Amino acid sequence: MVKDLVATMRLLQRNRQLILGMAKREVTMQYTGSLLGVVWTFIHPLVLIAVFWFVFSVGFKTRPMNNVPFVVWLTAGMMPWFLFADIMTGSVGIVVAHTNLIKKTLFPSEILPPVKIAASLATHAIFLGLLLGLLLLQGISLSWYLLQFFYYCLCLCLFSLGLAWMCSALNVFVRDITHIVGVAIQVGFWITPIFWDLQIMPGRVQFLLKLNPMYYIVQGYRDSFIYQTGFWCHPLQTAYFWTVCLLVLAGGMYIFKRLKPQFADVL
Amino acid sequence: MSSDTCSPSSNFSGTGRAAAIELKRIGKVYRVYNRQIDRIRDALFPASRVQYRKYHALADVSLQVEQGQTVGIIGRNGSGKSTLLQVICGILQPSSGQLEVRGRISALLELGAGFNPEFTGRENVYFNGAILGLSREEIDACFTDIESFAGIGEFIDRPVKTYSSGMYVRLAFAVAINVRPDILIVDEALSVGDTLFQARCFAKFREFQEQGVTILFVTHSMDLITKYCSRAFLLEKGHLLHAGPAKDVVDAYNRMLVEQSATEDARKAEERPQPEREEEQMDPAAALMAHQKKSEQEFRFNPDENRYGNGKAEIIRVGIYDEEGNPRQTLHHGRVYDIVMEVVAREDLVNPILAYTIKDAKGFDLSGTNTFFHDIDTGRMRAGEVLRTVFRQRILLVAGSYLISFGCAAFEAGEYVVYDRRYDLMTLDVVSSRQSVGLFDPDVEIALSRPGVSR
Repeated sequence: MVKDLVATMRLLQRNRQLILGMAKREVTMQYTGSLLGVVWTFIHPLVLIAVFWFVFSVGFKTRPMNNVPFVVWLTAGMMPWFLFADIMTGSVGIVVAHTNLIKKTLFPSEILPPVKIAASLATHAIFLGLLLGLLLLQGISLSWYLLQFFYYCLCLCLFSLGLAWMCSALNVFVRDITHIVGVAIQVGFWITPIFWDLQIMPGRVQFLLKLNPMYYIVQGYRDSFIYQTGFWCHPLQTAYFWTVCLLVLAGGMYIFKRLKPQFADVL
Repeated sequence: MSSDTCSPSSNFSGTGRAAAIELKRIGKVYRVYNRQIDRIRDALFPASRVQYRKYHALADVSLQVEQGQTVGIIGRNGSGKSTLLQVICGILQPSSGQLEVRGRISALLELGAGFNPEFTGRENVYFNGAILGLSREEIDACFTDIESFAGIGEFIDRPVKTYSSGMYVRLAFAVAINVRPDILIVDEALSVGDTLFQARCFAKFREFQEQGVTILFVTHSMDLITKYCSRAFLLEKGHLLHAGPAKDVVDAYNRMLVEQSATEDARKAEERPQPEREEEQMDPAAALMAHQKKSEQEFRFNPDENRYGNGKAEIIRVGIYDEEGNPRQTLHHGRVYDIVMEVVAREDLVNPILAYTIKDAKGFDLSGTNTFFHDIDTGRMRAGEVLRTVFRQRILLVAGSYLISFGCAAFEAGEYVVYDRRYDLMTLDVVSSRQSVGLFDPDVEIALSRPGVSR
């Protein structure tokens, strides 16, 4: 299994130019034919944050979370979820969408989920810029803890890579997976403490909710941008996350590897 | 990066006759499952006993292609040619047997597979190169070659979706051959390009042959096989039927086609319903319908025929019959056939012209004539009257597939008016027991003599 994982990582490394090239196409494809083009990448998150700010800070007069304006708190937690949702909804059908390449060329289909991840990271980077702007605007000091963003982003990418491999491969055979992922994303959004704080839940439920690997990441983003807490402060949670993450990664890769030889037969 | 990344890799030049491609008892079985979920269970948990049926696409195929050879693969549609190529490329996994391929493969299995229509030719070239495993620098080094070979001018910087199919194939082909593969695999794609481009491709083939590049290609053109291939393989129903010098295999293929068409025609003749006698007693409209229907039962028509005309007359039935009156769509070279068409007048007509044309698959008119060219006066037709025309002729076309078109028109007050044209209405196949060069084979008789010895 470890050998397989290493071999796959090597394959990704070897094809990095292709992955980046395809990711770039993926991003430009979204905006070809539109007048504003790449500007839309900014407009989406900007409008979203503006709406949050208006609804929660101006409209509901939500009280600040731990002395941080709700909109900042929400954006920091929402950012990783958006990335996750974008990767999952985009990659579940990505193998099927590239039928032509798989059937008619010698194409390393393993790279498709990473392509989607790379493309999603472009939007994520813009979101990051907007969040940093928001932090400065609210007078929140920036600290070295911000750099943890890269750590948590990597966590998220590896975790979703495992899932994306699994779902995109299974989806070749049963297209229901697309719908299952869609529903799971909806449910996941509400059972992950994004819109609400974990502290409002009773202790037993808190424990269950912490089993959700996405909790670790959402919390981590807030730790980096708002609470200025290091990931080493919750070693147990970290150890748990990495166990789950590596299992998902290895499992996803295993499933993809096993099903890949049949892609061309089925598509 | 130095320019020699674009020169042929010399992995095994000098080793002489190493096999570039070696297949040992390759089989490809498609498993047909009752439910999709069974397929997943079978793939993930091989131990689980899942029910499935087997479909053999390739069975027990063993073959060797020496390095530097140009080899053709022939066979009828569905014989497993494309599956074989996909297995050799590594796109499909064989179900059994061993496969060894030495060297980098560049494959052109489908016209512009891997081209994204929204992107420019240039972007697609880089993308295609990357799929073939080339770095950006390596493609940079080949790019001018690719561009000049494709010869599509400024279109290189326009989206591929604006290309004609000819430009498409040129660019795809230019990429496939200019990345300097060790093994080049081409499936049919060449037939799309124009003659000039084809000539350029075959010049490149010659160059490749000298450089020791192995070429494998599938085509229905026996002409190309005998011209460019040293060896050929004949596939039929997934089995390798023949392997050997190209000419022998092409002969075997032609023999196979003739034999099969004979048995097929015999079977069709048996299945043919007995001619209906009551036709005359039915009312005219119903009789016409029955008439048309009968014609449809006897022949396979092209659903994409190109039909137009003002409808003053209608072509209601066409057919090709041999001398015994049996319907035929597979014709034997050199035999006499009747091409029959029936036209019904919807209005009173004067001297309608009835015509037919035979084209090759590329749309080139090969032969055809009409009642006007033959100075035949068809006379007056009253509305509702049916006129039957029989064009009897000896088929001298070479073996191949052809399209036949029919038409009915007339000169009205000096102007040529089309009543009904049914272009490309039927396909017909001509089979021949011998090979021939060109478009028609005029039954040449060859006489040999030895008039003494000259000293």
